[in-house]
Amino acid sequence: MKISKNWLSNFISTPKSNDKLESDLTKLGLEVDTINKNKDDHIIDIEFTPNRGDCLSVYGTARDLGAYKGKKINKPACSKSVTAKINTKIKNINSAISPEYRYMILNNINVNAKTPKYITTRLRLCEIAPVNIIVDISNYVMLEVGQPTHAFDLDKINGKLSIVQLKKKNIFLGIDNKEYIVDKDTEVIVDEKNIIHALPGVIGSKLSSVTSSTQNILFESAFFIPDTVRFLSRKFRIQTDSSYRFERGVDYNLTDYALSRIHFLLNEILNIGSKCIITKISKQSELTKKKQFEFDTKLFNRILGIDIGIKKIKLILMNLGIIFSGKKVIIPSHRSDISCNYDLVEEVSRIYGFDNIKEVPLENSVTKYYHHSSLNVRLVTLGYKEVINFTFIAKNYSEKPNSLELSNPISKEKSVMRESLLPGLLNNIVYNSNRQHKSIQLFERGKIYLKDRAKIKEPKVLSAVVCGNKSSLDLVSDGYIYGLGDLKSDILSIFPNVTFVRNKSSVYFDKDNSLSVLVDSKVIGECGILSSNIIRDFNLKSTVYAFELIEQDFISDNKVVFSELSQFPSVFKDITVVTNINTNVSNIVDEIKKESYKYMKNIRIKDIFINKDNLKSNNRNVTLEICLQSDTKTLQEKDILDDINKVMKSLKNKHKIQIQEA
Amino acid sequence: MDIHHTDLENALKDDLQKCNSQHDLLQIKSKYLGKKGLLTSLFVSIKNLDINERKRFGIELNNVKNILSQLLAKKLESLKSANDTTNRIDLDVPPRHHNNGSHHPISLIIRKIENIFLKYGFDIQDGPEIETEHYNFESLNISENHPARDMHDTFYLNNKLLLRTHTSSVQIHAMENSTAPFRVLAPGRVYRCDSDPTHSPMFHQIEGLCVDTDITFSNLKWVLNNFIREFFDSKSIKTRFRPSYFPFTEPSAEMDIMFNNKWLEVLGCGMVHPNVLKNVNIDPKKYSGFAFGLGIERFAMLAYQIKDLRVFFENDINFLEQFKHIR
Repeated sequence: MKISKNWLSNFISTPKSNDKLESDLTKLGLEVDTINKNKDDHIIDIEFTPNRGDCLSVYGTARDLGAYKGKKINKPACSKSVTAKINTKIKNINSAISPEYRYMILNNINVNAKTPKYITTRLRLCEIAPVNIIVDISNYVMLEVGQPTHAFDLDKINGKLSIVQLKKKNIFLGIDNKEYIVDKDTEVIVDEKNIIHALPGVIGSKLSSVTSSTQNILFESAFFIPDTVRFLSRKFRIQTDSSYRFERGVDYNLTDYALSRIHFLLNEILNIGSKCIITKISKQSELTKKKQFEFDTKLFNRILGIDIGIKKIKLILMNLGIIFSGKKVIIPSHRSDISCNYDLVEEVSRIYGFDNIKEVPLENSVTKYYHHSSLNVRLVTLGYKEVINFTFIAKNYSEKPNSLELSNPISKEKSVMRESLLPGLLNNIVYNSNRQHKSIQLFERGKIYLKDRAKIKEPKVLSAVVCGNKSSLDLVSDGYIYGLGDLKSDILSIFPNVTFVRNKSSVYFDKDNSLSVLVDSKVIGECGILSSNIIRDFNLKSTVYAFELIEQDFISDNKVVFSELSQFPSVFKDITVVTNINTNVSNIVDEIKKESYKYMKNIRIKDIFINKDNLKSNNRNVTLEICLQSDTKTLQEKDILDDINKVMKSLKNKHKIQIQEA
Repeated sequence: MDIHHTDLENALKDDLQKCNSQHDLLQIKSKYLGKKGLLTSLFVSIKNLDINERKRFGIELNNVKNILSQLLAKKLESLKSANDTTNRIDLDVPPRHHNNGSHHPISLIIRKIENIFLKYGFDIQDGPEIETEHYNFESLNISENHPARDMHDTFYLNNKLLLRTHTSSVQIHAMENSTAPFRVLAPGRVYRCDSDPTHSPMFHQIEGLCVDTDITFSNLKWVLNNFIREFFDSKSIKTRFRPSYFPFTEPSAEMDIMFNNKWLEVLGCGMVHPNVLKNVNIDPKKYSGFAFGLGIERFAMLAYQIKDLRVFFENDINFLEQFKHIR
């Protein structure tokens, strides 16, 4: 909000230096954006926090500065008013819309009189365009003391006005020249012919606005309930200077004064006579009750950690207009934001100054240990670069369309919550290959979002992609083709105790060229080559190796039970088998591991090679390496042969595998 | 007749030291062992000795010959291997299969901040990103028509669910799932329906919460001032706290740091509002606490002098690679 420095100086002396003024206001919590020179004035742009409705005027800001400096600020002069004996123009008021409603009737007004220059200048400085004398004075008083008022052309109102919920759907033409469809039950100001004259506290109607032909005026000054105004403002997407103030809480005791002040100014300019008659309608409301509660002296020290002293605390609060009455404090009507002792603590700390609160160390600071990032370190060491992608993507590829969709997305490309990190990583590949990167190796750690019936789950996932040459184009590495072996090796470097089994089906991966990743026989993810359909969807031509693992399911086992080391040499023997590419040798090796052998310590796939003769049949030779060792003796040829023969027998008979004769 | 075989040996060693090529070596060889070589001439002189002397001298000469031959052979080997590259590795070989891995700068900043607060005894916690109005707003004292909601342009999903607009919602989860005292740090992604050079629809925050029987604003100042000093590695960095407003803290403050001679807002903080404590069944008469929230991107931009927020989420390899030396 913009405030004129000269105008502010009419209420309280302001420092000549703008830096000092800025620092004073900032210390109070009135955040200054800028102070700019404008002709012979300065415009102070303040960003008020939403709790400080009381500061949204020159007088209000001056009052807060006054409290800081210990000075009482007086309101500008106003006409002496009398209360009207009869209410002629208001039929009905809903207290949930306006518990305090005032109006003043002005007859035979010269609407075409010129607004004094000092007023139009100040309006313009605050970015409000002058309209006519009535609207200008209304706006001027709002800027001056913070009470929004509204002037109706009295002759356009049919009968009496009601401030109620609309009985039947209707159309409303605002002063902004826009038509609004107003539903039943919406809060409105309506006349006896059901014509809507205003959305209370938000905007008036074009029909009853003051124009050059207006003669008689109904000047409204009311306290509108903040929630109601905010609801209307949001519903119709209209924010006005009036709604802005009512939402944040206008002083409920300001209605009479605002009309008297308007009367005073109009009388000065138009000589309308000194008689200021105000009609008053008041209803019961929690929000317009005098607020008081028991004062808690101990809370200040308990929350702030310093002993300011009760005398000083009371002085600060009294300067803010708070009255001490016995054990109780009475809160002034302009501070709707204060309702408990904690609010008073905030007020005292604000005026006393955070700078004057000393630092006190936290007791018992015990350093904690945390290892979240060690996974990242491992991946980075393996050559992966970490990326962070938006969690909303263009579309998911899952089979059951259960997507969590945003109802107000920024764009179609960012409209669905991701069920996999892979689409984001594929976008990163596209972006970087378009920028001449040939070796792309990326990972991301983050959440995916799944809907499981009514429940939402957000598992943490680790995904990585490898695309193009694993290394840049150096001749030494040329000819090296990245493969599944490298990917497996990377995964094992990160999660040492995973196992791999063939994939049965997959959303993102090529079913035949990918594996499930297991921990303790529980699937935690997949790895392999991404499906060609998805690759094509991203306009990529090269093969993408990837893995995606759910982190939450990965329980790292930190227990180790030491086993005694054998003092005797181990023996290594190779067996080569001929199998079809569809034969799951890894699985057979796992099976054999579970069988009981006397001396076999380990069996592993040592080598796979394709014999030229077997190319057509999709057969390949797999060399298994068997490690034998005894804990009690050096193995004899017979011991070795017994175990090896047993393995061969199992391969041949149980697993139906052909053994290559030596 | 006496032979000074050690003299011969030393003479040869001297000659070999100076020798750099196989050609020179041949000449040296002939100087000692050649037809007219020094040793050969001694052999020739044997015939002048008497029969008994001849044998002893012959054996001795043969020993000398062996020693000299060995020296020459060793030298030949070393000259040969000096020129032979078959056993040499090429020291200019580029690193094989090497890709520069790197941490994302946002991760680096989160880790750095976490490490500082771990020292103050904070635990790291995580909370859901898809939230209800209750956790994101209401339990934090932000009612439906609260003007503070203007500052939160919220993304909505169906069924009144939303993407959390701040990590402050983790405060509530943390307090519901455990009992006081608390020291909790919650980093994570947050969302605002806003996109331009200074706003990203997704960004990161860290929320801190400390609740105990005797927590004061003085503690808050100590923790945050020390955090800033450590983060920017400067004991003299100037900070200030100025009054502000958040519905879930009271008093509320913004913390500024002096950066390039200007005050720069870096975080929001305050004492936990009694209503928030009541909402999670913590007695505000017994407990008090402080909370703070900061934007990671802001800290990353300050730490690495990055000017455009969008660069964080483009994931350009040329950008990511600039952080490769940080492990």
